[in-house]
Amino acid sequence: MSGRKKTLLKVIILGDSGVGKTSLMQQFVNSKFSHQYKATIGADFLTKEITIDNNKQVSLQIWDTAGQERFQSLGVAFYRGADCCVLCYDVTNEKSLNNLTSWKDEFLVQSNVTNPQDFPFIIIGNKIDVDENKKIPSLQKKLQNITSNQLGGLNYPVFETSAKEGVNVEAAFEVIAKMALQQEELNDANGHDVSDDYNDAINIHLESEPSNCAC
Amino acid sequence: MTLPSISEQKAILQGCLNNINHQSNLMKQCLNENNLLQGLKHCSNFLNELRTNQLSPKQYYEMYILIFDSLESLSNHLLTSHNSKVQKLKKRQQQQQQKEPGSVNTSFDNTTSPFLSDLYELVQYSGNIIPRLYMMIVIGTTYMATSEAPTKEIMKDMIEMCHGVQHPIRGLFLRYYLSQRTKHLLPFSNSIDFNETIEFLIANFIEMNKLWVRLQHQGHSSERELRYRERKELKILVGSNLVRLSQIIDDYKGNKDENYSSIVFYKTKIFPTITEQIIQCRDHLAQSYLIDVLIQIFPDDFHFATLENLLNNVFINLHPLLKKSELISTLIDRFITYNKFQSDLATEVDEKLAVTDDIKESKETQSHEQVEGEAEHFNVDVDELFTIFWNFYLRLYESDPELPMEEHSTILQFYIKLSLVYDPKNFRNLDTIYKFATENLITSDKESSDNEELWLQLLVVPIRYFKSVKDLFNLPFFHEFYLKLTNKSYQKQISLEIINKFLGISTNDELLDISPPTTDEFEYEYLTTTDEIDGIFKYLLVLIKDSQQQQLNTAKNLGIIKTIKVNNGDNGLITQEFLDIQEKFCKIIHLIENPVDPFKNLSNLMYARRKYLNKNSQNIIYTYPTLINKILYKLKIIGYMSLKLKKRNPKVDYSNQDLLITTNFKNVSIIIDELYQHHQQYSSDLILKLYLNAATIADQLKQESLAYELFNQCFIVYEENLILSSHQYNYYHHINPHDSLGGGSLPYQSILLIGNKLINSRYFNKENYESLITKLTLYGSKLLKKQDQCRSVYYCAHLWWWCENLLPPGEKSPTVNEVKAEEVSEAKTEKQPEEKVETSEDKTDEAQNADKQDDAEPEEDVDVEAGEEVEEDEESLYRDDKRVLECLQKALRVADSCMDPYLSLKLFIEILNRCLIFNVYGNALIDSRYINGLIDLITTNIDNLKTDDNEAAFNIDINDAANNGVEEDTDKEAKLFRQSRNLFDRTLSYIRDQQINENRFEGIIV
Repeated sequence: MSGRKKTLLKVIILGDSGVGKTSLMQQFVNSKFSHQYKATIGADFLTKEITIDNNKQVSLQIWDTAGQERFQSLGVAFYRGADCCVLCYDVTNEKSLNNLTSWKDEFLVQSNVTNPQDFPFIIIGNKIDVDENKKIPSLQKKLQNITSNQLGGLNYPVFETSAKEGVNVEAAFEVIAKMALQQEELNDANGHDVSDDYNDAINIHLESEPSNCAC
Repeated sequence: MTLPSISEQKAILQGCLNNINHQSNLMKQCLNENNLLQGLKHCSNFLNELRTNQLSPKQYYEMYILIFDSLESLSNHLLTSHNSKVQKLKKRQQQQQQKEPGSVNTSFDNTTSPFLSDLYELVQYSGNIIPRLYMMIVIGTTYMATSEAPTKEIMKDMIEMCHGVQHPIRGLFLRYYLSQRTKHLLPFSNSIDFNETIEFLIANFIEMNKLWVRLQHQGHSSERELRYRERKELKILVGSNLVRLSQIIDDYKGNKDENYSSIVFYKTKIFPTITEQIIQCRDHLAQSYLIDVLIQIFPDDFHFATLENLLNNVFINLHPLLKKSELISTLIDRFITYNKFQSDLATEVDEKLAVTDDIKESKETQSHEQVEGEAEHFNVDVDELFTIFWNFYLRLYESDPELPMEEHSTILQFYIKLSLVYDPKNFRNLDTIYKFATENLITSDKESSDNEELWLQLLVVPIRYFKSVKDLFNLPFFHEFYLKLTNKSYQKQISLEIINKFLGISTNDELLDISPPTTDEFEYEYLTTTDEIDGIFKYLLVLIKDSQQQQLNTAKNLGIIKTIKVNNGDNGLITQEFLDIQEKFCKIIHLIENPVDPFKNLSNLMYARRKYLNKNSQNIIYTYPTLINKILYKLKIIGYMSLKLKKRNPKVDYSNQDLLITTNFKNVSIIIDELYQHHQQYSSDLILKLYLNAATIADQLKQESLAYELFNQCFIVYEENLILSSHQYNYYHHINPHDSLGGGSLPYQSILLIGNKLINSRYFNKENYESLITKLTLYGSKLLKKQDQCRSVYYCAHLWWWCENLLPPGEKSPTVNEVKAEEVSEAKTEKQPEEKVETSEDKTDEAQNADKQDDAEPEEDVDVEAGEEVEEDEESLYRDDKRVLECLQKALRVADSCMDPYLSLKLFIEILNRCLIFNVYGNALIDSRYINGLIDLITTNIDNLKTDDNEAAFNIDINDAANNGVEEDTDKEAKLFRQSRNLFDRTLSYIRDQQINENRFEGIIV
């Protein structure tokens, strides 16, 4: 990889329906927020180029996913090759908080990552702009409980954001980008030799495969 | 063509993925080495994998994702090399410019673009159509991303070329790729571009939909299920086009065209085209999915604008087997979320306004407008909305008579939710629903009561949602509908819901996915008028009348706790559930309340009884006691108020109010009597307590004749039932006769109950009082068992010797007044001023007074006389020392006649203790001589028993292991004897203590 080539980092945003995944992405990429709720159909991504660590250019490919399962009919093949996974919950919805673990597990099962123990996850609690009385009571305690008991006691970074008012969104994605970059470099270091060997091994008999005309 | 098995498919997929990885790596290597053509060859190689038709859509998607990533890197490479070429060119131009500043831009366009456009042409020569088109798209879109590309031509070209792939799965993915690649390159800077973009997206949508629908009809008919499943998986590809449409409408802000409105655009351009497609395709899956997406993906405002069309022109024309209820539910759910969101927003806006009010005025107006602008589109007219939905429903009902009941039920349920959420106080709409359901749905459906469960939900939702149950009063047809439910158990379920809501008992809200707006703490509501009572109780009637499960089988239902028995009636079996319901009834009776007008309250309670509660004679044993106590409580309040008023203004005539009180007491008596008629045989002790309670209250309210009659009623209950009924109560059977506190037979208990109430009565005249207590004492002396006789009689002795005044200061008991009058005439001349002083000192506390009295006890009678002048401080206690003595003598006789010497002894000691009390409270006839005699008697008895006891103990020692039964017996007797002796010893030591400390019991020899 030459220095001038931009690194593409793939980030997956997961979480229950209605926690604001699309809004977070829209706020970060386009600085837009809409009051209208639109369900996400399937999965789609937006890319944004950012500079981290002073002068490192990276291109973040942020995949927004459907929280409702019925809109995810083709499966989640796009989890593959992710460099970072963002687990979202809604600070006013306790169920979404409790579901974080299952989202994480689902991701690890489907994405087939090589290092599930060290894979970078980040937790985002969205909608902190709402009234205090609507928020989950003793949120910090519950979150603490979930991270230490169910998420394997790993200290994933936690951000509280408001996609509506743009609070903390930039900061969260900066951390995401850094973590993703680290993961990507780790993958490169591990993966390159393997794939090189692999190339040579198959290279030979592929030449013989004829390209037939079927269509 | 048959698909390979699942494991084979997996192997094929793995092979494809490996190959793609490999070729893509090769491509990247070539690109790094700037060998573009070789790279494109590798690219074409891995794209060839997409030509397979042996994989399921999900597997194909996996491949697609991998290829997508690889193509992305190709695109990146092309873009960077394009940019570097442009830069080089620019440099060259700059150099040229420096040389000859005249001729500038001439060669710029011609030299830059051709790189990508040539490439675009070049890949057209690729042999296979799939790789060719993918490469065309990746290059075309990369080209579009550059500044000078003929974007629209490329778009047109690409979408035309895509027609070349007619295989559904491959075609769908190809077009999906096209839409993914173009999504951020679509031109919409002016209205022409915008319109063309929209056309591009719609065209892609139409084609994809066709491919998708066509897939259903391919292959063997036995594979229909498989095709259906595949199509279900593929649906998001089609849906994504609508997502793009929605996004582009969002992004396009009209661009200087002031007349542009996205809503109008949607309504006139997008909505008709898309829905026409949806209707035309006549495909069940496509219709249900695409309508769902349409609802989800476009903003609510759009739906409000097109609602009428959507319902009446689209929904009606969809596939007849398509479940309209699902679409309706999606739509209404969406509107409900919208409403919630908007109301949140509205409160926020209010807050903002409140905040801005405090800040500077100039800023205020600005933010005001802005904020109001945000809240503007919130105003949705519920009635209008509902009317549209309702008209649709009517049309649906008419056009499709075969519509299953589930559909009706679900649709109406969502209508109810909609109406509730948008305006919980709009009862007209709800009632329309219930009216329609009552008249049209439930009648047509008599044969199958299975459907009634569906209707149940229709009724439950508003009950749970309403803030107050009373809101139901506004829905006359709710009750009509409720009555049409033929299955009583469903009616009961609804009734229980109403009760629970009314009592604030929370139920788990599985049925209710819309949460009521406020969850404040529950406040009880009162039923203040007969209308309100009717409103609630008409739903409860079924629970009252039909409270028993008919076929309750004891063998099966283990929850039965006891049986309910009515005079001459069948036994009813009672379950915990039944008792719970009765308990809830009692709670509701307590909520029949009118804090302002107690008389009205009373008549309401009577009304509830007359109209509802007396409908089942079995249940009244549970509900009437509460009702009676509630009435008595109210009567008490009324009575005290009127007494107070009388005292304040003695001249006013209160006979009217007195009459009301009397009538109500009579009513209470009637109610208790009704209970008595049905339940005298098995619950007479309870009824006795009710009468006693009523009698006491009547006495306290100075209703002497009422109180007298009520006490007589008590005697009737006693004579008719209690006197003989001890055998029915098992738990009285293991009563220890030696235990003076642990109860006794039921008649004995009843005597004590009555006695306890009588001794606190203060407003009888002497004659009535004596008649009552004499009667009671006589009953006591006629009890079956000696110990009961003895104890009742010595307790009754107290009735003749009041120890406490109990009256408010300044009042005199009529019972004593006559006594006093007599005594005054006898001893008019005797006055002892010293005592006056003493009594005036002691007026503060009656209890203390009683303690101190014993000093003054010999002069007690005189004291009463002395009170003639100092009326307020006067002791007015009814006392008759001779009768007390008679009672005690009787008790002694009975005790003496006991066959069991140990019991006899025990009773003697108990009588001794009574004597001590009377002595303390100044009964001159129970003097030290009398007590000494009793002590002597007891001592003699003990001495007699002692020898026996010793003998018995001696005998045991000899026949140690002879007979266990005997041993136990003697042991038991010895124990009893020991207990009695201990009691006696304690009594004596008490006397000693009192002699030393309090100077009491002078002359008693211990």
